[in-house]
Formats: sequence, structure tokens, C-alpha cells
Amino acid sequence: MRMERNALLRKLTDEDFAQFAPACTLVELKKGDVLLKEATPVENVYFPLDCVCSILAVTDSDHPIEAGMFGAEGMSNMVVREGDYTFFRSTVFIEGSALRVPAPIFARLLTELPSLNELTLRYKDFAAVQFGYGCYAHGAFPIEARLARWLLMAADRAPNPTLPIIHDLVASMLSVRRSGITNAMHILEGSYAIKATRGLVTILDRAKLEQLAGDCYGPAERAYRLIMDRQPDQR
Amino acid sequence: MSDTACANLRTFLLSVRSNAKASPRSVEPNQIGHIAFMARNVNGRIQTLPRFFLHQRHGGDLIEDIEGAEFADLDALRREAVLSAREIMSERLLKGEDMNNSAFEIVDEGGNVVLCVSFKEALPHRLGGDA
Repeated sequence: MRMERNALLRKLTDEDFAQFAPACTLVELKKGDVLLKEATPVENVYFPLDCVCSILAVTDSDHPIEAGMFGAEGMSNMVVREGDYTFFRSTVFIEGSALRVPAPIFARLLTELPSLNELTLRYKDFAAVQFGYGCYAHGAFPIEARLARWLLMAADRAPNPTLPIIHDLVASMLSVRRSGITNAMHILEGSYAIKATRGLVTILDRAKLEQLAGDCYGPAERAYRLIMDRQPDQR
Repeated sequence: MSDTACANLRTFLLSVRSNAKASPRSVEPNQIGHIAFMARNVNGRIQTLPRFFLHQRHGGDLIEDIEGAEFADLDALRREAVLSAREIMSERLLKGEDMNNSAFEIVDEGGNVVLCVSFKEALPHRLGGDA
């Protein structure tokens, strides 16, 4: 079933999956769609199937900065109770499909389905790790390493190896000026790690790109496997 | 492009802009050469802003801006170049790179150079710059 393209839902127990499935609506998300609006109650929880989304910290609408990223490996956010707020904005940057569950229903299912509860809690743990290594990247690494990390993270979640990415978008995500991204793309291209054309970035040499990202890519990704790759019934 | 040519071009652009400011609705692309800074339309009609490409020259190395961006006027274009130069310089200076021969060469969609901004221009006076 198509639902199983989401790694969290794939790990649900069969009984829980059967109860969870009817609550989901398949939606097609376009680039720029806002899934969560900062400082508002969460209306829906999304489980991407092949779209890729950003979690943005926003104080001034013109200058958001990306705090995290999620795709089919995860979910938009966690809601424990109906009416819970989000303090981030979430937008789609690579279009695709996702499963949408209304927040009140999700909150109820969380109390009824043990494997959903455990998997989403574990994912929340991973999200904190991802945010933490994002801080490390933003605080301690030059633009080209942060760009390399961002491209690797996007490629991990995108359905195709060629990413439909414009420089302006990455500049906004990394909170640098567009010319800074042009410069950083040039450095990555000079190492033959990527090929950038207008509106498209292709990863040519993933190992090289990981090398250019240095330690700011990798720890969170390894943490994901350690946190998530256990069956719900393993204690 | 030589410094003199850059200065001449800048003077020309400034005169273009003052004309455009005087009567924004009457400006036709052919009247002002290849640079048409359209006035922002406040009546909800389609806004047409020209696109510019901020190529970077670092010594003999040319970094092409393949996507470009839209700018409302010459001030906005220049401001972006100055702020970008400061950001790129701060990164490159940390690595100990020489920034003396770095500049933005900004071209319009026709490939014509409309503005040059050397990175040194973006430095405050007391750091030895021109800004």
C-alpha cells in the first residue's frame, strides 16, 4: 500500500495500522504550501509520502531560518492534545503527496494505538537531535558546508536524484544572501560533488559532498537509524 | 571593465533612475536604453521587475549567477551587492583569502553589464574601503 512509503507508518503494528489508515486523507502538496503556521493551534498532522518539507523558525516573515527538514522518513509535528500550538512554520519545498490526519483525531489515536505513540515519540526524539546538529552547522561551519549538509538532507528525502531547487530558496533556508549560495554552489561544483543548473541541483558524488559537509552531516542521520530502526515491540 | 568605465556607467544609471523617478508611468524601455526599472504597480496589476544577474569575479575566477533576481531599482540592486559582498568577504576572510580583486559584475537579461561593485567599496571607511 502506498501509505507504507512513510517510514513511520511502515513501522506501525498491523493492528494499529488498520485503525490508523481510515483517519488519513491522501493530499497532493505543492511547493510553498504552508502545513503549519507559527503561533497557531495545529490543525493537521502530515506524514509525507514523497514531498519534502521545511520547519522554519520565523520572527520576521521575510527572514525565516530553517530549523529542520522532514520527508517520508518522518512527520510534520507531534500533537499530544487537541488545541496544541506549533511555534514553527512548516512549508513544502519539493512537491509530492502526503497523508493528512486532523490533529484532534491524531491526539485520540495516540492514546489508543501503542505503536503510533511509541513511534511518534521516538521521532520527536530524533527531531530534537536534528535541530541540535542544525545549531552545530549554523554556528560552526562555513556556508559551503552548510549547503552541502542541506543538499544531502534534501536528497535523502527527495524522490529524484536531481533536486528542483533555486538558489533563492536555499538562501532563505540557510539565512544567507543569494550570492552567498551562488558562491557556495561554485565551491561544491568545483569539487565535482554537484552540478547546478538554473533551478536544478544534481548530486554527482555523494561521498565527496559528505566530505565537504564535514561533521555537520551524519550524526543526526546515524541517530535516526539508532532511534527509529527498532521494532515497536523490542524493549 | 575599467574603473572609469564603471564610473561612467554608474553616472548614466543614476541619471536614468532620476528620470524614471520623475515620471514612472511614462518610462519606456527604449527611452532609457536597456535598463527598464518599472515602477511598482500599486493598483493590483502585474508587476514587471527586471531581472539582474550578480556575477562575481575573484581575481581570474568568474562565478556566474545562473538564476538572477528581480530588483525594483538601482538602489536595491546596489544595496544587495554591498550586503552580499560583506557576507562573502566575512566568510572568505576567515579562510585567509585575499579580497582585493573581488567584484560584482551585474548584468541585465540581455547580458549587458549595468553595475560593478568592488568588494572594497562595501567596506566601511576605517577598514580601508570606499563605502
